[in-house]
Amino acid sequence: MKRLGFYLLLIVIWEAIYRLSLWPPYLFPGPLEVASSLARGLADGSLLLAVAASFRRLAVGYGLALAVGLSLGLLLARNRTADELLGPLVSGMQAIPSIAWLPLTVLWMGLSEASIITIVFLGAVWSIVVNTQAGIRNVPPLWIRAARTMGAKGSRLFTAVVLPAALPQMLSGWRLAWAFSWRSLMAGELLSPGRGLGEVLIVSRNVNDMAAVLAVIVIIGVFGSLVDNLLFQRAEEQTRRKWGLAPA
Amino acid sequence: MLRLEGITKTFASNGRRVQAISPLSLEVREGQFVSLVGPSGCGKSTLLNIIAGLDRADAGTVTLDGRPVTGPGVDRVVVFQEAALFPWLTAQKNVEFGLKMAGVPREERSVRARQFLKMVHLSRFADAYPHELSGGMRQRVAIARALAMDPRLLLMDEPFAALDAQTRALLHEEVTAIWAETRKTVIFVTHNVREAVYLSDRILVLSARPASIKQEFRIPAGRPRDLTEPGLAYIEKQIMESLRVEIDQVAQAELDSDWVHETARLLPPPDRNLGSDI
Repeated sequence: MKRLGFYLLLIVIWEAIYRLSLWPPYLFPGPLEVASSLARGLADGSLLLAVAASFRRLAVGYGLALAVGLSLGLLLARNRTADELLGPLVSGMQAIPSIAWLPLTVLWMGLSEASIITIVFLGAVWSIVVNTQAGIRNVPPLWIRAARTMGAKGSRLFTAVVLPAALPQMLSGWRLAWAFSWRSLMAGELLSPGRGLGEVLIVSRNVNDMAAVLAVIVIIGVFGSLVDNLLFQRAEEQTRRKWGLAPA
Repeated sequence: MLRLEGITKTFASNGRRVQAISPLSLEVREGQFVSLVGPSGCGKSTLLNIIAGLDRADAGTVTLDGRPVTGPGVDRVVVFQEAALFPWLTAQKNVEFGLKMAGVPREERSVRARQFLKMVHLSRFADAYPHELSGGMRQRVAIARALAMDPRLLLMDEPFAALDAQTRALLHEEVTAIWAETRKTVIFVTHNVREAVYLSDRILVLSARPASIKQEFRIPAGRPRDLTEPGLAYIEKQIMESLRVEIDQVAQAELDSDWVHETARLLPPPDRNLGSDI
């Protein structure tokens, strides 16, 4: 309730500044204009199409990143040689903003769906690898010893003890990767054509429709934080509560 | 019957080789409660890990009922100092863990887990997660978890060292009762002599590193025991004295060279202070 009031207040302030007419309306639209632009876009389906197209890329890129990131993370955690050879490479890759790869992916794959998906993938995969590896590596040896004296070994030991023990850290890696993949998606869509939220942003700027630009930004913000709140934060909080890491 | 013959163990630490256990042999009969006491860092936990199969001896053999020990196995379950419960499982599921690994069907597993939780008086907390339990309760769950495996040998590695004195006293009674009921063979590592005297049939005093059996004491008293009884108090004092020499040796190796252990020094009572601190 308190939160709702606060955001209403923010919108009122925004409207007030708009009414002061410090900047021309085409540079600084008010909340009502943005809302009506949002409603128009949703009603004629153009924004929905864009959201669907963007979300598809996001889902494919993030899904691939999960699959590859988990297997690579497992490999690095289990195999010392792999860790020695690939470990520094992975942390180096993590430092590169994935959009920096775009010129390369455009050359290799053209201005295509695949090139944007690759950017999303590259944005998400490294933090999944790093957190999977760290999660597995940080499993307290005591738990493993205890499990071994109770007859757990090999793959049973791994699925019954190592994975659940590593889950909290792996979850935070997935969450981080989600945020990164959104950023990569937007950067990729802005720089290469094709249906999507990025395209709506570019087109709206070209026709000087700031209300539409802000409408897209609202969508991105709401959608991203909704998934973060409903999916990742909830899962994280649940494990934390179960483990007694947070006040219940 | 557990038999250890000529066990030795050396560690490499900072490039130096440290001998942790010098040739050590030991026999424990079925149903005995044996405590290992020794100065801290003497290698008693290492010895326990070797029996558990979590650690390998450099030389010598461990056999349980004639079969050589080569790795961890469900016939030798360990209760660790920190309960080592899995935080993502409830008390009930923690007790079921070993049974699940052994492939016991779901219903039987659940019945057996409940039976052992009842034995440690935690039936009401079956659905609690470890963080919702006190330290003593967690250790109870760990004991139930070990007993549920029905091991030949129960290994306990300073299981009550992290608990407060009251909880510990309660658990001592509990362990005595459980031992009387199940008649498990128990190897109990501790540095608390009182605890050892209260619980054990035999107490083995280990020497400072490298560990070997310095002296053995048998406690012929029945249970439950009253430690204020003169006979037990006398044995406790003897064990203390035997241990003291070893503890001094460790202290001399670790502390400054001018350290000496002074016994029974008479401190002047504070009301006799005649103003020397003015």
